[in-house]
Amino acid sequence: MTNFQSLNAILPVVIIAITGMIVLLGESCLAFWRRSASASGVVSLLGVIVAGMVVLFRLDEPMLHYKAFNGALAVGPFTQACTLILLLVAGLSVLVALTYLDNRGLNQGEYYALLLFATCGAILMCAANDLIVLFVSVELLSVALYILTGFAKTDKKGQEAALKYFLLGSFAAGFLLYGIALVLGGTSISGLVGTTNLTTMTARIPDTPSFMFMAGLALVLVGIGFKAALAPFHMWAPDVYEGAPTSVTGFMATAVKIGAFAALLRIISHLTGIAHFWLPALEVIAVLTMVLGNLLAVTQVNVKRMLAYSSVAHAGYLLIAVCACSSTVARPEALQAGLFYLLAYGLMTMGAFAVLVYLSSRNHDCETVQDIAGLVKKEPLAAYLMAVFMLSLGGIPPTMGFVGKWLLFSVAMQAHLVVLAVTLAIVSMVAVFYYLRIIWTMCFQDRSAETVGATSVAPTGVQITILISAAMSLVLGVLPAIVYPMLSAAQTLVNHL
Amino acid sequence: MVPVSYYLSLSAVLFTIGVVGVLVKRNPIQVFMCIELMLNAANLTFIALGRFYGTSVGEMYVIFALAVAAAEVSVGLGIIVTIFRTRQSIDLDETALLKS
Amino acid sequence: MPALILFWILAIVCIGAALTMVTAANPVRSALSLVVCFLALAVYYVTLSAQFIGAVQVVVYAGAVMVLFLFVIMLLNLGAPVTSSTKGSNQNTAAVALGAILLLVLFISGIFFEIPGKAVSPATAQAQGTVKAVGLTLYNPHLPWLFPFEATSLLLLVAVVGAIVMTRRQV
Repeated sequence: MTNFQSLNAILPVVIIAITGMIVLLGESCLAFWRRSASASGVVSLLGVIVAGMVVLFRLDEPMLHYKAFNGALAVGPFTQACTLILLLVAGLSVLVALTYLDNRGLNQGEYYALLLFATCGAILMCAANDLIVLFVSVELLSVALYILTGFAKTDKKGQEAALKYFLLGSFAAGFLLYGIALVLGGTSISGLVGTTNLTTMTARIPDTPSFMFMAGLALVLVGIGFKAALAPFHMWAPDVYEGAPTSVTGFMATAVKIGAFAALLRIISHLTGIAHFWLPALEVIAVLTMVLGNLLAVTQVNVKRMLAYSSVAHAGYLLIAVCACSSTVARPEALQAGLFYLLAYGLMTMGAFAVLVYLSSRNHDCETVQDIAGLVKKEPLAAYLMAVFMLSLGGIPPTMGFVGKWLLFSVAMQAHLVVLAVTLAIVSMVAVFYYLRIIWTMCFQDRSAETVGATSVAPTGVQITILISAAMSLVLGVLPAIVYPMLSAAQTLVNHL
Repeated sequence: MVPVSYYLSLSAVLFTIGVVGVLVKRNPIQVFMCIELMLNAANLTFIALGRFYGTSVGEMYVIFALAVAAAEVSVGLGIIVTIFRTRQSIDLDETALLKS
Repeated sequence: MPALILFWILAIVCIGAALTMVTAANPVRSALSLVVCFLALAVYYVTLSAQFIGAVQVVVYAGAVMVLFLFVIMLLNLGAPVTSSTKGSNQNTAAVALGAILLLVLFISGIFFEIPGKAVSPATAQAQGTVKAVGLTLYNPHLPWLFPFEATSLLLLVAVVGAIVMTRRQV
């Protein structure tokens, strides 16, 4: 592909980036734009929709089965599927932000621009076919998120969260970069400098790779593990999720996970030849993540913190798909299950945070269990929809979460990862407990007198988000086959991953 | 010519000093300096590896790492300045609001 | 032989400066030690005939980045050391133990590494570190470096916007 064709292949990213720049320019140069409360949000939403249309209309184009920019990016069906999921999440985040920013008096167009740039970073993470491209796109996503986390400048908790996220994120970036350096050394062969291009790398790795390569790979996994909040690198997640503005938490919890797991699935799929080296380590991390995430979530009284630990647990479930990629037989199904679960996780998490945004008033962020007590009497619809998200997160039929967990369980069995399958089944029981406790609080506990219980002032955006997420969680829970063709397109062309 | 393994070992030492520094220091600015040291250790590895094959590949990685480091510095110090404005201190262990 | 002596001298300077940075209680002292460390690395780059990166190291790292660090330290008046600059002794021990393991792993991966095949002659290497050679590789339409370079520009835009958003007073 020429560079022009390559640019055409990543048109969605280009559209999103240009929309972000338009928002920045409009905000700084046009007076009527600045006066309007929602101009930036609406333009961003339009950009996301156009980009989504571009992906949808070009799904069958054969051009999209190759590598763009001389192997820097893979633009195959796997990338297209991830791009669609990310654009959905980004669109919902923009809608949530329309309400949240108005509510908190944070109305600044930079928020949307940064959100869009972060989305670019996440999409590029899914497309990266070279570790250095992965590094740059991880940083693009992270740097934008550091700023968004600290966007409420008068909020001390938000500031503290931003600093924590920034320090741990940069620490992770250090590991990632050093890991890349060691991979570059470990893949060198006689007379040829090493490579970090995944496709070339696969051809270069002998059956027993050099110690340097393995050390580099381990450091790369540590770096990505920090970003995806895998145990034992998850300790930043609860603090950061709690401190960040709720609309940012929703985006952070979903987009970063989707990007990190897409990257992880791609890297691991290129290393099936040496699976016996990394599989035991990943299995241990998966079990640890599932168990720790669920056990710590049980004791939380802050809903945002509880969702943070639950997102750690979900990262553990997703690792099952990554581990299952080690077996060539189970790999197509594992990729499909992983993508489906990412979509399910994105929708239900975004929905749950959107309900929290909906229940927040100007002076009070809805955060603790006490804030949602007795909700069913005051806001029955919001309570029912929150219940849908909780059931979906808990993996109870007929929701998407159940289908996702079922798919993960079956690929684990198919790849003979019995320990992981059993752990998944056991921790799911624990998980049901704390998700049901939220529902119980909403239904049966009385609201204490001092909680005001006001709702957002301009709730249209967040209402649309809640409805879309809930509807998709239910419809895809009953008829998951709707998205299968797209996902299976992603897995039939495994070679062009 | 100095063998490449010397450079790799040196950068391993620098990287480890950086990692330990991040874990033991309390002042966020000093923690951030240790992270910069980690990135620099990686850069030394890239240049050493690229040089011994007579290519400019090592330089490419360093250029990207440098841009990333510059971006991180501007944002990170911005966050630190804002924190100082709201609480007149940047020592997070003393004034932590987010605790489990 | 002179090259080896230079390597060892620089290694002592470099590691010494890094250790000073970690142990110093005063942030200003840390920052200045880090500058020394970065300058030693710049000399390494020049001896590795990566002249361009050596110059960039001095200008960007030792210059811009560290000046920014010092500027923030002075601006916020953080020059005085805090009561205890490190965390509790238990955590320190754990960190040092972790560091020792990490160092062992990285050292093993580095010290036994040999270039497969024959290393190129210094004369060939010399030509690869110039601005011209670096530019030709970076912008070569048949190599994959162009895209990450473009992505970096977006990253820098985010950083510019971020620095303004973070430090602008509330309007």
